[in-house]
Amino acid sequence: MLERMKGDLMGSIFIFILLMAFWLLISASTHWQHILVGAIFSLILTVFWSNLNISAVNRTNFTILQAFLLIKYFVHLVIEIVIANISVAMIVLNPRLPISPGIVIMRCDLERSLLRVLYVNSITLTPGTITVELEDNLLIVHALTEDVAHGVEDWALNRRLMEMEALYKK
Amino acid sequence: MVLHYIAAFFLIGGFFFLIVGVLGLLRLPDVYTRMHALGKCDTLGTGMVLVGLMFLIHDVTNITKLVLIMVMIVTINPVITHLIAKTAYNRGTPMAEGSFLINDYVASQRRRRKRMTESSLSQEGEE
Repeated sequence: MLERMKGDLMGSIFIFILLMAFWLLISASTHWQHILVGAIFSLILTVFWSNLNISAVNRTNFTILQAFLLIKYFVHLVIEIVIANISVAMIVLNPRLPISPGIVIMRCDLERSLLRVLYVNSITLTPGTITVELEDNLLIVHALTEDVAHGVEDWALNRRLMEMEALYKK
Repeated sequence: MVLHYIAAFFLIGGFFFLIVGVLGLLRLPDVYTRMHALGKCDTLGTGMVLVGLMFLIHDVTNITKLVLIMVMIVTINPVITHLIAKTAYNRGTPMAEGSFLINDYVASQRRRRKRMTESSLSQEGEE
């Protein structure tokens, strides 16, 4: 355990600081006993779970540009979620229930697993679509109305994710 | 005082979306369409209720806990929605009558190839 920690000292310190910040937020007290207990527990956690630290081999570069793109993506996602909810509310509260459900089978070109997870979960949360299946690059989407089904592919969030993946490839 | 009004806005909006989710569960015809109502409305409804509570609590400790709950709901809810829909699809649960099926796989592949050749051509042109 200790060798692994020495191998990745910066990562261990980072995780320790993260745990300590969380502890300070939870306890919200500056009494020295609280801080001591928090430090001891953070240290124990860091030492025992040092095998979960990111090793130097499979570390990826995370630039400021990527963080900026991610934040922009999440802001866009929140707006899309609100629009989705309003559209579902309009459909459910309409007495005639104007739905025409169906399945769309299409391609997903993303390769990095994080972006794939983001993409699939955002499809579930955005207007009129939920993901049913994602296998390799086959993506099955259930759409609530037929208009939505035609617009799934040309979708602004998908383009943003493709931009982010293009950054990795450089 | 203003904080109370903001909190009331978020709380009432959250309750409205939760009610819409339950109504959708009762009104919509099959599993998949029901997951539309629940997966979306529960996420925003619960999120808005939690944000409203955050405005009422002037306490860092509890706000941290509420933020944690919100993050967990926003990440877990779509995953569970996806799992239920996937299981229903793989078990062959019938859909509502009149459901359509669009197979866009081949067409999107073709479009993608076309786009890629266009972009490579434009790159060559720039060079």
